[in-house]
Amino acid sequence: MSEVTRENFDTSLVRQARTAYDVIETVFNHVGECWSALTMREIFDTREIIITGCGDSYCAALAVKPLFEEMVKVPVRAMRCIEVSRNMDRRAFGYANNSPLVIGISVSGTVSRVEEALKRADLNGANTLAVTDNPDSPVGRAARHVVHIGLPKDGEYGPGSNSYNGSLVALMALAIRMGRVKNNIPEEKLFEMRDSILEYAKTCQNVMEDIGDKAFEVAKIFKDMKAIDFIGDYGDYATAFFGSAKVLETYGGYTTYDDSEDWCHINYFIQDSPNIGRVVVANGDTPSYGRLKETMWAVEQLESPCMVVTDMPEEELPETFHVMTFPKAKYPWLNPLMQHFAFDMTAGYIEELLGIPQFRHDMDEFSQENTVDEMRIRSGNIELV
Amino acid sequence: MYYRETIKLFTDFGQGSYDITPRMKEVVKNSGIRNGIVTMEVPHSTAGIMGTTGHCPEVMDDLNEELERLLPRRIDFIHQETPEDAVGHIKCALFGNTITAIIENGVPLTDGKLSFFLMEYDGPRHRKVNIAVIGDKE
Repeated sequence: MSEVTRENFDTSLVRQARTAYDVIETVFNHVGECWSALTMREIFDTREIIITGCGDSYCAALAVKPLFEEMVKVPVRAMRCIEVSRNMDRRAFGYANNSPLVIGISVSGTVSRVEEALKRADLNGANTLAVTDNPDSPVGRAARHVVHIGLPKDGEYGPGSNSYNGSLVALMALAIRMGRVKNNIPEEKLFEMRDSILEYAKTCQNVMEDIGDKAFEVAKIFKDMKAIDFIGDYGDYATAFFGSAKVLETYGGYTTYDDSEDWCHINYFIQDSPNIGRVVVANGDTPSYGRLKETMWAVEQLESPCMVVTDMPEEELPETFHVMTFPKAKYPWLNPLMQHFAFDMTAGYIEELLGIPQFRHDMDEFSQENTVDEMRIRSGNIELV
Repeated sequence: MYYRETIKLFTDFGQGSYDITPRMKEVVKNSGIRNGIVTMEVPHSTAGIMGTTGHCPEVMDDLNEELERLLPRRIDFIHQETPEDAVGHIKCALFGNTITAIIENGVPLTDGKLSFFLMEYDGPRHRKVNIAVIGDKE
């Protein structure tokens, strides 16, 4: 029997990882400085920002929250879409001119819950902005303002990976623009921060094949795991959440995710640890890096196979761990842009190794023609409550 | 004869003024020109140049305050980059970004009376001042 090697497999998520820089560069050049997205008055009026979306787009909201906080210096919440569209008190919208600013993310622009959240926010007096690749979509039309992502037309976007990056780059450009208008950063810093997006993407792209080799090795171990358990804090929580989503979208495995502190309280107790794969996103500049190291020590004691996505040297971490070291980012908020590819590729290889089609569209219950599937995301009833 | 140097400086946050007279005199000296003119140009559109007394710092404080009062930062300019940038362009256009002084016997005629200031309207930034001396060595 021939040896199972990486070269035998070609999956969507690996192909997307290979073209990541090109996609980021295209979006970066398209969104520019987001000058026309919001007027200066609207930016100064903004007392609070709510960022929302579903699935990968919610992860994007989590990933950029730290940057918006740093740039705009107002409270920022990454909120679940159902909470914005149905549960949150409507009086929390429109309490002041152009406040809060509600940013709804949907690459396709067809996600009904995001459309609903933006319509509800607008109806109740908030300012609204859609981040979408389709400005003429229901989501694009539901918001007062639109940032058009501008993904390359011929790209491969399922399962979402490069589309996620498109959202991230557009949101990063918007946050930096808002920070500049409020004079929280001088002009030269604006250019430096914007350039750092492309520089970071480029340096990571240069190590992507090495990361891919390691991802394949981890995939051979993780394919037999009962579940994959992800851990990450703050902006890196987005990467953990995103990885967990890829488990489900690719081969439909069992998965969970948490931050380091709650993991120590809850997920630590998952039974049969040696058969639970663990993925820890732990960057050196994360304020909770010390806590993440304690968490990793606990993972080691549990004898779980563990992948660590980090910008720290391998020697820092337990010998038995599979360490994916990414180049150090100039700013910590850049980490979520590229680090998700470590597990994206792993998930892609597991899908191939197990021979399970992504999204399982070959099965009746997951078929795209299935009416339940349509209602699930795009044609759910819109209620303005 | 023509002689030119470019000086560089890094400005502080917001609006501010930087006395470049000593640097100008140095360039005049380096040029070896005894009689002619020295002209200074700030090649930016949100920074300019002005001449006023260098003896009373409070005059510059007044000037900065008046500039802020006459041309405050606003959010409703048609140019929507930033309030500082938008008003900076206007200050620069109104107050100019070039200035000339007459040189006799190797020193500006204004020596001891006027000082020259780079005016920053949207700092912090790296700024340049081109200083050209035109005249005769004799």
